[in-house]
This record gives sequence, structure tokens and C-alpha cells, in this order.
Amino acid sequence: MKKVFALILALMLAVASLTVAVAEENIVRVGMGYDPTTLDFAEQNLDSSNFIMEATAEALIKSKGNGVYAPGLAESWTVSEDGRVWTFKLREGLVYADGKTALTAEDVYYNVKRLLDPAVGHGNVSFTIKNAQEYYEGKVAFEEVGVKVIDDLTIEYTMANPAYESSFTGTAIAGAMEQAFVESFGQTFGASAEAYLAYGPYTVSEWVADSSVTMVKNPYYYDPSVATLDKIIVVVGATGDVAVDMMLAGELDIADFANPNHIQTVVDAGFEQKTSFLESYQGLNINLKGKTEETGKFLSNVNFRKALNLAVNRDALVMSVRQGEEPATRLSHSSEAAYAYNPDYTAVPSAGDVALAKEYLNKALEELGCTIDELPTFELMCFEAQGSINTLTVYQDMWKQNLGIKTEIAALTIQVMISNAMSGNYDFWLGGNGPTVPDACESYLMGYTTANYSPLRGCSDPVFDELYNKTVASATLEERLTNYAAVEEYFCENVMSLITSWTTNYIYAPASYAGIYVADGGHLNVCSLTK
Amino acid sequence: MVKYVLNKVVLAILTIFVLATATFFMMKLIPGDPFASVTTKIEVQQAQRAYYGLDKPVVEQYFTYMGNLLRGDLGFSMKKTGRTVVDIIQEAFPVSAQLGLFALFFAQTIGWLFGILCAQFRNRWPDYVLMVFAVLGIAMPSMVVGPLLRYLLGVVLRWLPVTGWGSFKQMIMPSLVLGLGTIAGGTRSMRASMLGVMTQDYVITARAKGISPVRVVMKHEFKNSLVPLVSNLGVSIASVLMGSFVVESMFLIPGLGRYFVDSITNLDYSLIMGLTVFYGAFLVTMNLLVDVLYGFLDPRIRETVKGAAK
Repeated sequence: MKKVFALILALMLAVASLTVAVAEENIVRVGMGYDPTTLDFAEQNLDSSNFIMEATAEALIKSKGNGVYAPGLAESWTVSEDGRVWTFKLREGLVYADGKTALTAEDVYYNVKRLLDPAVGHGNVSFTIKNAQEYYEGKVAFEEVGVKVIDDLTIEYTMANPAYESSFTGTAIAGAMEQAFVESFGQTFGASAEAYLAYGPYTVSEWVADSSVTMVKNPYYYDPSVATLDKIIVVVGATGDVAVDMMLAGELDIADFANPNHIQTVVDAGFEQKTSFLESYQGLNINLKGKTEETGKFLSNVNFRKALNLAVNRDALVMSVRQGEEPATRLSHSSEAAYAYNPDYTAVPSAGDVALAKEYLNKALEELGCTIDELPTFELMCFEAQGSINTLTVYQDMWKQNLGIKTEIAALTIQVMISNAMSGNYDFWLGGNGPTVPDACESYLMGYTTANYSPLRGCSDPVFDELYNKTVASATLEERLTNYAAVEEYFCENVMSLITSWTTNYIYAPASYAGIYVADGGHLNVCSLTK
Repeated sequence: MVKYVLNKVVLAILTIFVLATATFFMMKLIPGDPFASVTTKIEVQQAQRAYYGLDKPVVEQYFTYMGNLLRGDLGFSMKKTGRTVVDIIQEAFPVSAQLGLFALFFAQTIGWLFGILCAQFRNRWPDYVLMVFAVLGIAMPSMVVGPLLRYLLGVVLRWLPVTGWGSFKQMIMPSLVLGLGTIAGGTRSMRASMLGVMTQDYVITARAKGISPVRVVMKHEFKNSLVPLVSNLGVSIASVLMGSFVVESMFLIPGLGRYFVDSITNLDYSLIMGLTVFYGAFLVTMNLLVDVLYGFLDPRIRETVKGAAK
């Protein structure tokens, strides 16, 4: 009997010690919508891969969120007066997570060279470096591209336009890759934990495709104090209802939400909003040339577009079909640095102004020599999802009731929609664009310039072009954001696009968690999280 | 029998070839391509198309694909960068298959049991109650039952994990949800088949000999009722083993189901082709196995094949 008792006691102790060991492990489980698909800097573009990049890699400069920058791979840098030439001094003794491969300026150079390889057509290719586009188009040799290794610890970038700290926070153009390692995997580089060589505070220990990615501390990172967690686990697919249930059941610690119902449920369960980030500008893209000559006649008229813009009650739109979004009264959102340079500007009242809309419509009809009865039926194009169709139905009703303008909805498959958009075969097209740092020039406004003219938007406006070019050529960040205020105003006042809402994601975690922030580009960072 | 099987194998290969060819050309008829984007520069899109050989004439692409297919090379996914189609199937199929087998086992066991009971109590209240219950399984879609069960068993009662895959506990809820829809079919088929068998002479004789009712049901009625059901089993197994987009998304199961939807939405040509060929080959193989099994279960078929061979 004593033996049995002793055995039971020993078993209980063993189980208890195991429980303590598990409890002591400092793990955080983060919900993400999609599998990273790849960890290749040149290709990755999803929230989950950005999150993993934040933890396992680093660019020359590190974004700490809210416009704050710190040394990353580079411990220091100098900038030419015109803001175009940036010389970075890398930290000494940098090594990859294998503990033996040194990380030098050659690796940063190789990363750029690989990104710009025209034979592959990498998805994240960027032409911000001098002569990058010319090289891509086969007009110059790579030696002409504005990236140069000075010595093992020094690399120099010459940019096409003045650049800022934010230009060097992304791993695509300012990260590092070890050439021999990359080439040893060939096309499968970045597609598994084994085919990825980390050098950030954490390293990828396991990646179960479409299920989870586990990251553990990288003991060879130059500053061991950054990684405060033993493990970070990315749970793939944990969003929306699933994430809520998982948080309530204690299976998930951190997730982002936009839906007010989800938010209320997790708040009631004791979770707290830790940070937020702007995900996209939403609204109707306008084809200024129209789908047909007849519709183009009206859509190219600025007063007609103003009438449409003012006839939309954004408050009602958001409340009825875009719950969780914010009514957009201009392009820049209050969380963006650019907003602070023109804080009092409002392009359109969020509730709309029907009386003024009618005035603009009459003015437009007068200019075009038409009556309201002669207006054609405009096409509203969207992806064939119920949410999108509902949104377009609201526009349709508002324009019909407020202005008597008739529209029809074309709900299409994603491929047909893209195909139509690319060829300018639409009048209005429901869609969103993600923001960029320091402003929306690269992500949004560039698509309206004549230099980037495509049949896509039917836009060619020399005044806008001039304002845009002046903005991107600004030598300092302050000058750029001041100039941006002007180009944003021009864009909004001329209703070159009908922006109606901002999608913001809110990050929720247990109330005791601290140290969560969102870096440039909406990249969530929990590397130094404390519980 | 060997000749019969060989004939079936040749027919199966021909079916897969026709399927691959038809899928290839139908896929090319879908507007757009995997790299069409309104945010990526045109020259980058062109480079991407060239990299995957999409800039070549369609007929050339077809012959290249079929050549690779003969070597067992299904190519790289165009959207899951760096991963081959074979890798994706190898990783995801066992998960879906496991889920499907659990669901099928659950559904067929309950369905057949219900069917037997319904037949025994034909047109009496147990028949009606069980049929209503079985039909409810079909009437309530998994997208409704799944979250309800997840909340009840996972969040409120904490009996089972809300999501995930690997442990036995994690398999219970998704298998239940996936299997619910097939219970009704199983019940109805078994009921009809049993009713047909129950009036056969050998069953009446068995009853007249005073054999116990349970023995009559299990040895004579159930066994002989299985023959027509087995013929449908091949298709059922193939479809359920290929995964379910809804159930896998709901319980975060890394199976094959979501790839069927995502590959078409993203126009991931190589994945569409790979999955179709794999599914087709699997379906054809299952049907082949069922044909062979059918022969073993029903001696009359064996005799017919033998007779034809002579």
C-alpha cells in the first residue's frame, strides 16, 4: 500500500513539475489572417509575414512607431544635403542566427541586387533607388544602380528622390541576405523554417504551413535584451469570430479586430486595446475618362464629381454597411504624420451636404449643356462579395435620392474586376489602398500622375503632376509633409477619387501586457512584450 | 479478374488525361492571370509572367505542363512562393484525409444505424423521429452548426479545444460538424436498401427458422444491404477526404479544403491543375477499388466477370 501511495505521490509531483515548467515558459500567441506564404523579403507582403519580419529580421533603420526611428543593422548614417545620398555604417560583429555566418555590407548589397533581378520579377520590387528602373528595363548595368559597398561595414545608397529614415526601414530594400544560403535553396528560399536565415531578435524554429509559425529567441542577436519572450506563436487564420472564441477560451493572447461586435465581446472579457493602425483608405475609384465616351463627359467634369462627393452621407454609409470603419473627410487619417501638417483641413462634411451637391450638379449640367434627364446610367463595379454589393447599393440609393443620378451595379469575379480596372473599363470601382510612410504619395497619389498614366484611372492633370513632383522631390521630411498638404488638398478638392472611409485595425491583448507597438507600414511588433 | 482490373486501370489513366487537358484549357479561358494587379507596375507583371512561362503560347504551355506531369512534376505554386504543388498536397492532404475519415466513420456509423432502425420500425414513430433528426443534419449548414458547437463546447463548457489540429480532442468537433451532412444520406440509403432486402426469400426463411431477430438483421439483412451502398462509398470517400473549406477555416485546420477555393480565386494555375489532377486520380482510384470490392462482396459480379473472360 505504501508503495502504491509513493508511486501516486511521485506521479503527482512529476505532473505538477511539468505544469510549472509549462506555466513558466513565456509564450505569446498572436492571431493572423493568412499564412505568411513566404519569408523572402522580395516577395512577402502579408500582415503575418510582416509580423515575422519584425521579429526575425531588421532593416538598416528600425521604425519604433509614431515616426520614431532608431539604429537597426546600421549603427549610424550620414545624409547628403539634397537628401539623396545615404551612407550607412553597419554594427560590428553582426552574425546570422546560425551563429557563424557574418553579416556584412555585401549582404545588404546582395539583397538589393536580388530584389531588382528582372529575370524573376519579384513582387516587392521598388524603384526608389537611383537607376533601379533603368536597370530593370535593361537600359543600364547593375553597377549604375545607386547602391555601393564602400567596405565590409559601409554601404551607400543613392536614391532617385530625396529619402527619409522611413525609406530604409523595410527589409525589401534595406535588409540583408546571405547569398550562399539563398542560392543553396534556389526557388524554395523563404518557403520553410529551414530555408530562412534570420538575424533579428528571434528566429523561426517551426513553420507548419497554413497553421502556425513559432519563433524563439535568437541568442546571436546583437542586443539580447530586446527579446523578452521565450516563444512567439503566430496562429494562422485566427481572425474575426474564430479569434474571439479563441481569446475567450484562453487559446489566443493577441489579435486585431475592426468589427465593433468583436471588440465589445473581447473588452467584456477583460482584453484591452493596445494600439491601432490604419489599414486602408476605402472608397470609389473614379475613371475620369469614363467607361464610355458618354459617361466620361460627366466624370471628367469637376463640378459633377463634387456633386457626387457631397451627396454621400459617410456617417450613414459607415453605420449601415461599413461598421468598424471611420467616415473619411479627406485622404490623410489622423494617425498619419501628414495629418499634423494640415490638421484643420476637411474636404467634405462626413454627413454630406445635399443642397450644395445639387448646386454643383446644376453647375455641371450648365457647363455640359445638358439636363438631368440626359444623364447616362453609370456603372458601379465591385468584387462579387455581399459586403461590397451592399456598399454600392448605399451609394446607388444616395445618388438616386439626392441627385436623381442612375447607376447600376456590376458585381464581378476578382479577376474580371482587375482586368476591367486595368483597361479602364469602368466608371466607378469600389476598392481600397493601403497607406505608406511618410504619406500616401507612393501608395495612392502616384497612380494619378501622368508619368504613371495608365488606362486605369484616365487621369492626366499637369497641376496635380507639378504638386506631386514637388512633394516627392522635397529635400527634408518637414518640407515634404508641407508640400504634401497642398497636393492632398488639390486631390480632394478636385475629387480625383471618392474616398469615403478609413479602415483601422485595433490590436487587443490582456490588460497587463505592455510593449506592443505598430512600426511603419502597419507592422505589429511584440518583440519586447512584458506581461 | 486481372484483365477486368487492367481494363479499369487503362480507362482510369485515360480519364485523368482527359481531365487534365480539359481543366488546362478551361482554366486558360478564365479572364485575367495570376499576376494581374492594379498596384504592381506593368513591367513587373510582365517579368512575373515570363518567369512562370505564361508569356508563351497556350499550346506550348500545355505540352510543357503535360511533359512535366508525366514526370510527376506539378510545378511551383504561383502564389505560395517557393512551395511546390506536390509539397502542398503532401502536407495538407493527410490532414484533410484524417478529418474526412473521422467524419465519414462518424456519419456512416450513425447513418447506417439510423437506417437499420428506420427500416425495422418502418412507418412508425421511431422511423419518423430518426428521419427528422437525420434530415436536420442536412438542413443545418456547417457554417451555422460549427460556430454554435465551438462556442458551446469550447468556450462555455471548455470540454474541447476551440481550434487546432493534432490531438484526438481537436478532431472531435470538426469531424462531428463535417459528418452531420452525410448522416441523412446514409440513413436514407440504408433504410431503402434494408427495406429491399427484408422482403427477400432468404430473410423470410431465416425468420421462419426461428433465428434471433438481431442475428437476422446483422447477418442477413445488413450484410446484403451493404452492396448497393458500397458503390456510392467511393465517391463519398474521395469527396470527404479532399477537405472542406468551411470546416477547415472554422476550426483552423491546415487541410486541403481551402486550397480548392483559394487557388481559383487567386488564379494559381499550377495549384488548380495539381489539385484537379490529384483529385481526379484519387476519385478514379477510389472508384476502381470500389469496383473490385464490389466483386468480392457480391459473388454474382465475380461470376459475371469470370463468364465474360471465358
